[in-house]
Amino acid sequence: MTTEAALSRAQIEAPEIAPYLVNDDEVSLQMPKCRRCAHLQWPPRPFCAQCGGADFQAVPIEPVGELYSWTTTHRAPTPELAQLVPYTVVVIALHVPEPVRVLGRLHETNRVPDLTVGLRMRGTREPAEHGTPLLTWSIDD
Amino acid sequence: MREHPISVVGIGASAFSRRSGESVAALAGHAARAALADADLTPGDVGAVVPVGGTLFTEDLIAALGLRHDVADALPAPGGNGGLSAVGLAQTMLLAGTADVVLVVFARNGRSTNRIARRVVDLPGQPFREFLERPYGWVAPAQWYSMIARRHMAVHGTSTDAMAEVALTMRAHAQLNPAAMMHGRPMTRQDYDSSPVVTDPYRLYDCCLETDGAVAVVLSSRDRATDESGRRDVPLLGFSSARPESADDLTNRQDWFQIGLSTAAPAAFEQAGLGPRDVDTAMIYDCFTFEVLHQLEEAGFCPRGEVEKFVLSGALRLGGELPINTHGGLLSEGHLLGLSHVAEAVRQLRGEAQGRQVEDARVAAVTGWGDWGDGSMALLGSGKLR
Repeated sequence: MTTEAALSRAQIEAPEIAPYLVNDDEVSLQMPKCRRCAHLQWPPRPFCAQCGGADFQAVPIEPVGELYSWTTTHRAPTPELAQLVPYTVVVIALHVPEPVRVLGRLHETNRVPDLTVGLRMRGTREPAEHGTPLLTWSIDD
Repeated sequence: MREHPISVVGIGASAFSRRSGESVAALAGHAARAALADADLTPGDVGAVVPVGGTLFTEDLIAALGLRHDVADALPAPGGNGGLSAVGLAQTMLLAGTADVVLVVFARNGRSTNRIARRVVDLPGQPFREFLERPYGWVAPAQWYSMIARRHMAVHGTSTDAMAEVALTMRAHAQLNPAAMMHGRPMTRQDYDSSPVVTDPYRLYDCCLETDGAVAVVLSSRDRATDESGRRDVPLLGFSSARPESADDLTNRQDWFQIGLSTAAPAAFEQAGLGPRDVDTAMIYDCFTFEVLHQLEEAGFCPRGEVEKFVLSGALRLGGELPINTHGGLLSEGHLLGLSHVAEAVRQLRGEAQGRQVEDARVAAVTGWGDWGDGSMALLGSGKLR
């Protein structure tokens, strides 16, 4: 699926999430902040978990955090992932200042044996050839 | 009112295989007929049904069994908690007087047709699944839970030795169960260590089987204490089901180890007036090895963070402190969505588990675990506790 088609599908099926799947100017990560109670919410939901508000603004987030957990997949769970294995999916804990976690892919230049929980990681959004642009994460030296 | 007004009165199953060659409705029919016969009841006694598994419907059961046209029904949530939460729905309908006999049936061709690994489209939270997770290749239960397992290893020092012990125990127990898919196929630690990595830390032998088959359980509120047919009835002592915080998303759940069972287990124990130490045998939903470790802690069978020590003492094996999944579980008997766990608890409490009988089993705990961590606990007792 082309990137354009993927994003337009997201606007229909997941309107709360769609604005956060692309870069806004040079900012690679944004998250919805409740305009009523200032709670930063991820993943994006129609209503604020803290106050029930339904009005959010997108705020830029510095894509730096700690490795919370990861798994390296060797056996493709679906046929379309067969060409990608092995690949590593990571969960990154951000402190912005509320604790928020995001899912991402480990950038292929990193070595899996170097990973430990708590490592400082830096993310970037990769330009997409197809599908939505992905956040990839590298060990932050 | 009687102290325990609801009992499991019948259990039944089809054969378990990789390719049944039968329709889901046919599998369900075999298991349901066996369970009704076991209960000394007929299809005309059934006032309500709970079809489980996502591809079985009330209409199939009416056609297969000749049920009444006014039979009531309820559908459990999708996922692995469906088997045990179906028992909770049966309890609710029996207590409400909707029916006095409820038939719960799970049936699925989980290996030959709708393979379990590919049924992610049934899950709640589709926008998250589709737009935040699938693009990253994070789509299968093994991948979600290996993430929790890794975190447990980092925080509590849990090793793959504990996971291996679960896999080896299930396989050893399956050798005592002729109905198990892995009967006659024992496993060594070397077999476990050399099985291919699926998504680390999970190897192939950390993952449950995929199975074609059916299991049925009949529950009733009829007072059969003095009937010959009620002699083998197994009272339901307590039941509870719950979801974790952030029920549709794991990434931002504050405490990754807090699951539905963390809430459900204390509630079920309180209803029954029992505690974890009163349990003689437990049937733990074993979709993957780490989920057994996780649930043993959250159900209160050992303190959080200490499960490795507990299982490496041999506690889970027949003759140990808490023998679990004496049928071999989802890992080695077959994936029957945990309704097979209820059936095995009933066999143990009736004293009908033959070569794998837990001596003087009076209380059995059964747990359910569903996608994203919803969970249940049922406590069942031997007829002596009625």
